[in-house]
Amino acid sequence: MTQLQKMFRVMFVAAMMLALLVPVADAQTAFTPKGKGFNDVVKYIEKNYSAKKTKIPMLGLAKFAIWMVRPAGVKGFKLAVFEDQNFIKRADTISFSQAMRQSFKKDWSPLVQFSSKRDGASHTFIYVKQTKKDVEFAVATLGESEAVVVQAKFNPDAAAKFLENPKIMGISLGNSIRGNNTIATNRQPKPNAPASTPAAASDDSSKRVVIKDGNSDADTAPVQPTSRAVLTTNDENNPPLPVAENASAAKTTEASKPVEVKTPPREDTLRIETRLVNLNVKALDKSGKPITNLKPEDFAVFEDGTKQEVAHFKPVNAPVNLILLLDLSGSTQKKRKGMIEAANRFIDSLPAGDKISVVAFTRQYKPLTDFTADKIALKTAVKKINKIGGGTAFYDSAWKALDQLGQLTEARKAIVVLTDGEDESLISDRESAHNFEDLIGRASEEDVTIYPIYFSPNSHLNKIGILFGGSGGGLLGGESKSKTARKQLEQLAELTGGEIFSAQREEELETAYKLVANELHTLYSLAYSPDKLKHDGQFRKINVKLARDGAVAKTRRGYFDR
Amino acid sequence: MEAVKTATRMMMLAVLMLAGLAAAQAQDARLQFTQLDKLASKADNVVEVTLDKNLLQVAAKFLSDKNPTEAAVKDLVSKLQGVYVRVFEFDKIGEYSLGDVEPIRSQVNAPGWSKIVGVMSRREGQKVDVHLRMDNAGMIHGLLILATQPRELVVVNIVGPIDLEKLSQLEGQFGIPKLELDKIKAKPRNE
Repeated sequence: MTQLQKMFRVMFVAAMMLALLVPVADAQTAFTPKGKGFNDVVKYIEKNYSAKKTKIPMLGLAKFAIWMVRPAGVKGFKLAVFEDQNFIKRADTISFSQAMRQSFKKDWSPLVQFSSKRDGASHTFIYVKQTKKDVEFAVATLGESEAVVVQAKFNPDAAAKFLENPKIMGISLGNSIRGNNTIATNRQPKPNAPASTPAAASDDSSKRVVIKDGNSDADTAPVQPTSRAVLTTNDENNPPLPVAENASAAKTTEASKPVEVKTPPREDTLRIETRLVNLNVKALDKSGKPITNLKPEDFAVFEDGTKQEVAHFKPVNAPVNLILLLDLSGSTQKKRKGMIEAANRFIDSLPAGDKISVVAFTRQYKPLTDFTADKIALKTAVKKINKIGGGTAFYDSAWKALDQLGQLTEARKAIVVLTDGEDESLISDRESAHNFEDLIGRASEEDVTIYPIYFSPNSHLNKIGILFGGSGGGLLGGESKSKTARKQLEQLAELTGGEIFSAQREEELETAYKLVANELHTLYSLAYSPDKLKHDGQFRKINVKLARDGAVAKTRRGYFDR
Repeated sequence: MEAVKTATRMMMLAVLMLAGLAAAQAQDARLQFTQLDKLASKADNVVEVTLDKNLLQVAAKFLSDKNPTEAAVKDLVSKLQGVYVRVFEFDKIGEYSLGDVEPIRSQVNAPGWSKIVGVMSRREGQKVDVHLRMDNAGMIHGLLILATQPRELVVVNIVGPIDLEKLSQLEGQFGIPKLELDKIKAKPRNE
């Protein structure tokens, strides 16, 4: 009993000592900043998180070189990097934001403060101090496992001059490095624009019907498409748009066979050429709500101001053929779970007749399925995106998606693309096979409606993209790259009769997809054969009017008559 | 000679008075956001941007005169007295209420402020209200943009002379999120 009492007594004393010692130990390691800027922040991180600075080779030399050369008006800098740390463990004394406030007191002003609890907590603070001619910036960012503290002093006039004419020690570094991104406006596509690929060379919705006489190989002749399109009928749910009336001799035959045209035997070859222009049309009432109960007679189609006869009409509930195009660049790596779930729900939400091809893109275009209505196969394919990652060749991928849809003869084609739209050519020197001008020029004359879902998981960082360019754009980077990308996506939607939706978080993807699913079935399909075909390469402007008060129709702008 | 001196003195006085008035207008246009600080602890993401006149002048230096878009922004920015932004993104709906925004609204209920008819997007549940601080001559000296979504609150206060036509050019710049301001019709009405 005495032994037991003794043991308890010893344990009690030990516990008391520990309890007393712990706060003392904390008090010894805790550090309270005293308004010394960079040094205080670094000391705070070292002491309060028990973190060690990463050694950066040649940092001293770099500092000396900067001090000597003063490139871009930078007069000096300090840098501290902490890697592979555990910053989740918070100091008990004061928070990081308080530490920043206490470190940058006197002449410093807070410029940007950003805090996020998502994806592991992170904080970014930018403080600024102005002297007569110079500006001093301090940036401190603290993430889950990394922290970076930078303080730099520069002359804004010299920095601006450098951006205009980049030179270091008299050596030119090339042209102005200001952001000079030009954004294609709602331009008219270039007349006589050269067709850069066979796909672009033809109006995909245009078909030429060649009727041969009985002296040809057979008294029935298959329809010859202008280029990639083979005019075939397909399943009952998705018959092709029939050939127009001025090719009345041409009659579609049974499903899934090339269109055959029977002609009376004649010695000469009779060539009747017709072009069928397919349109996806969205009808909106005065308040901008879709109108879904229109009849063919409610539409009036004009080409270059001349009224055309509508040869074919499909209501809004007709099946759609679409490519679900998923941007799998690095920025979406951590969001894949949400992306897969949302894509699966989107697939489930579409009517049974809709055919989808799931395509992933990075720097490569990777079709994961062919066009199919098999939802199980589609969802199995979507799961594969977990294993894919890389850059963002958006323009080239969208181009290939148009190629892929061009192989279809059915009308009602759409691309639903989940992306931040930041093609690598926008944010780096990497060149793409097609630029935005090419893409928008082609998209505006195809019968494919594009629905971008602007998914920018890092958009909160873009919001503070004030100083340092990059994808956030900002003062040093000229116009924001993300803004440019977003504008381009808006244009693609606008010029193809589609609509853009936004999602900043995985949770918002489902809503965005739901809206797209609703939109897809607000489209009517119309087709007409132009009354005059000139093949002069000129752009033919299309205008659709509705026989409803205040109602407007959205569709593509026209096509090149090649 | 004395008359010239008097006239000069009067003119200087007038100039000083005008300058003082302009400064006062600008001061009135600066709104207090401190009441929003309590939302920071509830929000998932918080962005706070504070750009005073001096910083805007520095910022303007980095905008090119040659690029038309940047030149337009530069022209707009160089006249401003300040840009103040708060963005709060919440994880769940209902983590902030309109009551939290009331202290901001009450500031723009003061005389001199007018409300532009805002836009409400049923689709995204977004409501954007724009309030203007105008003088008797109809010149705009300040602006408040209040954009509320179920899970996001954006408050932007721009102080200084503002050309409404050019306002949308500031979107995506200086921490101001994209609010599709160009779609907002400028129909001021006095409150």
